[in-house]
Amino acid sequence: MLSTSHLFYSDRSLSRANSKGLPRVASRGSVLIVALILCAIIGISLASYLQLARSTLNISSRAFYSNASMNLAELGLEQAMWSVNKMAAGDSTTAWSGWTTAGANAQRTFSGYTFDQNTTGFVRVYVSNYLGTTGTLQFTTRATITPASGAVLEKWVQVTLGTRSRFSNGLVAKDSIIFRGNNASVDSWNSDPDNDSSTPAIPYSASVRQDNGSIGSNSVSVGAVVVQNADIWGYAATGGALPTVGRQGLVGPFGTAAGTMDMTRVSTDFSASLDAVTAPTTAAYSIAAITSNTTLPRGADSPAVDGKYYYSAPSVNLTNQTLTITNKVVLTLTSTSTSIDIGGGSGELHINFGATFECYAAGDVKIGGNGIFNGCTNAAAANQPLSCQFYGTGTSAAKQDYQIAGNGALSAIVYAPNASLKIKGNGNVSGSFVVNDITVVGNAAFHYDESLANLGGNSPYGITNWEELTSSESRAAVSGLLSF
Amino acid sequence: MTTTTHSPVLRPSALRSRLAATGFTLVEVMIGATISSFILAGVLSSFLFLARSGANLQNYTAMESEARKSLEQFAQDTRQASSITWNTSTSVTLIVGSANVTYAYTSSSGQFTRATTVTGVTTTTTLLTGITSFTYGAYDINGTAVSLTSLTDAAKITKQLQISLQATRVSNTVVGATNTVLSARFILRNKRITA
Repeated sequence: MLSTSHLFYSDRSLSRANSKGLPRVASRGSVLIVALILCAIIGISLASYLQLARSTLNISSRAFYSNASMNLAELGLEQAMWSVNKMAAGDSTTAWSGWTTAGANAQRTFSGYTFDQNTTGFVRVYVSNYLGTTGTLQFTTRATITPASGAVLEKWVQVTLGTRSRFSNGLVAKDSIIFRGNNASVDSWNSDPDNDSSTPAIPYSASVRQDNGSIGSNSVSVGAVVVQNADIWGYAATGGALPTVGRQGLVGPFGTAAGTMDMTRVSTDFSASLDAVTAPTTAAYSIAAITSNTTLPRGADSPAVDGKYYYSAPSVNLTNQTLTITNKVVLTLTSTSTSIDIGGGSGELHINFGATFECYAAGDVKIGGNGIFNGCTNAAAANQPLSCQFYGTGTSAAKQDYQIAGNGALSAIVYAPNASLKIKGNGNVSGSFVVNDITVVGNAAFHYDESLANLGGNSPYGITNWEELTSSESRAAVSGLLSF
Repeated sequence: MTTTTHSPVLRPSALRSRLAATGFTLVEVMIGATISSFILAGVLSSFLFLARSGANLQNYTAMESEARKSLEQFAQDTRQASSITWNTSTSVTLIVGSANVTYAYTSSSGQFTRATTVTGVTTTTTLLTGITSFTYGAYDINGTAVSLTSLTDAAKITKQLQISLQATRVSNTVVGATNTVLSARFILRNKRITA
């Protein structure tokens, strides 16, 4: 049996022995304490080190997911934008498929987005006035990312939309704009200043003309816009190089000296997205190629629900004969070679005063002879340019060839992103032309109709304001919309 | 059966004599001292390494944190800006809603600041410190670099902004920690361009 009483005795004896000058035993204890202190210091340092490293990792991860949440918010915007533009293109059936609509508003949650490290995300989208019929069309998105640990990250974005007119500038080309005449000019006026089609239009005249004529080319090439000796009373823009101006030419407001450009009206950042256009899908009367004097609409035909008469024909081919438009006519020409060829000494496209003509052509368009008579032979009494609309639907590598001329005055708009346009004549040319390249032959006086900037129709929507909601007040104002 | 009653170890007098008699030889002491010094050297060097690394890591973390926070703020303002004015090649003023927001780098103090002016009241916040080099990158709608030779002309076509900077932190006995930041090109989404 082991007796411990003597062991205690022995310890006390040892203690007494130490107190009598036995340093070796004492040093054993101090070494232990020093080792413990060192271990503690190293441990604390190591823990701090690891904590710092962890903090850095957390900061990096949250910054990464913060960026991801912005991307997610914009994904919601893209989805809504797709639906809106699908609707604007006339496909309202699939445009809002999958969305929950209530009154004038629509909402949807896009979920199931997974990131690394068990992080998930979803985005809620609320569309106010989704049909765009009343009030402002607006998207509000709320993207939420839930990381594996830590607080949830959110981004709130609100954007306001507006229709983008294809005709917000006078002469627009993907490639080049060239003025060949020595006395050509560009200016502007507004045929519908109150933006009310029921009130009489304001015809162009010297008393209402403005120096807001605008020409622009997407091209970054030198020589994309060759003004030469034309007077551009307004703005000139290119995608890169400055316009070329001759000694008698100018770009700027009224009063600009010949041979100069007002640099506040010249820019080199022009960029226009010229989306392809397609013919309307509304049921149309199918008629034979027009090769003789013809009047549209025909007497027995009925208009569609929008009040327009729709026709589909292979082509128009008239020599010394006339195509007369007496009401609202939409004509789709299916030939991909020559869609319109009006010539001879007296061939003419005659649009009665008050009538409108909308033409979708996939092939070449050549209107010579007497040219286009749009309401009158002088600019002061002609129909508004939007009464005569040409849309080029061709997409082939070979450009469509557009050659048009007016009968005294040419008043029309052309949107043909894949066409080379040649404007002939020395008279007044009013409207807006958006094509691949433009050559102005002769000394035409071009007048851009500023009211065309409001011509929405089925144009795509664009974002007019983009705002990130960062304050609690701004988020609280829309949180009720995004709590589904 | 074990008995310890008569064990000589437990007698103080015997213990004293024994302790006095026993001891380390010189060789033992030298070996012990050598091993101890190695251990201590290792422990101290590890400690110093940890301390220096920790100080450095703290510098890096502080710079990284500042940089990320600054870029987040800069991105928010830039994305919403409807107009830009180049004050100098290292100072821009953005119009964000009804506020004028100026982001400026001051080389003398090495600071990048954000000054917000709303209804005449300006509030300045220092976003980054210890900056040794700073450059703004300006780009037009096509992504082409914009020359800042003429600040007025540059403002007309600037559509994207980028920041490039280098910051440094120095602590005692630690080599300087350097952080290089190159931001994304943030687009001024509300700024109208010619089209």
